[in-house]
Amino acid sequence: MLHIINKSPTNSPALKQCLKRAQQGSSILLMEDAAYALISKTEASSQIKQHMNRVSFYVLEPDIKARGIGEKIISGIQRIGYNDFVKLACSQHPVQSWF
Amino acid sequence: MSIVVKGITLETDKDGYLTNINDWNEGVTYTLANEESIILRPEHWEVIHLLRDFYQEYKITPTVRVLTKMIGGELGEEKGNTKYLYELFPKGFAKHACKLAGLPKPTGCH
Amino acid sequence: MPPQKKKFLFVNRKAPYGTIHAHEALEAILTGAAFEQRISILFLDDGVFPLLKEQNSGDIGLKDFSPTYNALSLYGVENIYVDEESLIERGIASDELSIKVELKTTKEVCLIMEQQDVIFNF
Repeated sequence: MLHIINKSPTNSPALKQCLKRAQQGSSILLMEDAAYALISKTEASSQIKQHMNRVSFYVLEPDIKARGIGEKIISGIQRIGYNDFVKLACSQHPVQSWF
Repeated sequence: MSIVVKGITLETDKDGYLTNINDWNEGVTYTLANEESIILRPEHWEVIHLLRDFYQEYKITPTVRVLTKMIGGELGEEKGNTKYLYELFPKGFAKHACKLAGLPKPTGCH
Repeated sequence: MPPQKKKFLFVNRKAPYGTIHAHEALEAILTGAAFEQRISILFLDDGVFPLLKEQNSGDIGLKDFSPTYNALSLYGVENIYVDEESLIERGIASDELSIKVELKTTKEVCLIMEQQDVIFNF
């Protein structure tokens, strides 16, 4: 299944709440302000790293670019555009949004 | 609304300001000046280019105070006052100068 | 004697783009500055994110308002404070910010707040 988070990890518990429930083999897409969760050397990105071996992480490239954090995010994340976002949402179901 | 410049139709808001600032070219200023019965002199262009440079750098339209300070600094101290600006653009800064420069209405001036 | 001008503090606590708060704060600050008020700005918690360099929001269809922070000094806004702890928590170094700011400790931030007449929250 696909989980979508769109809130900043330092302003919302959405990331923590999602990570607690995401099962092995599921995908998590970080979009809008959730992209900030990927900045290296932060509590949020280290939590994400702990789940990388069992969950696939995606982020929307336009959100990274808008926020000026392209150079700051951890490796191992698949950066996708809007077309791949649509494909992802169509190929994985159900979809759960955390906001 | 829209204006036609050299055969090309450009979209404007209800008050005649360009919707997309990148649509601007000198022809837009000539067309709008003609409608407002302003005869453009080099002094007008100085201010119009300064306004556009400001917008490109800061992504906002300056207030009259900020613009006059900048005119004083860059075009000569004797020009850095509202009287000078009103002589060039009789209907005022927002209505004339910004519109002719193809910029949106100034922030705090809606 | 004219009445003493009040001290206004604008507190920015939200990230840009995801919500409109940061952009609205900036518009309010510039409007206040145009009326020559005594204005200070504090960037706190997620409110430090709008100050990051090299933002480019064209692809998400929103205006990139970060260049406008550079105009604050032209508008006479001189007191620009950033909570240092908020930067550290978010993995941001002060040289990654697009404008010159004064870094403040948590204790200093509290003091700045207490010294104001009015605080606007965004």
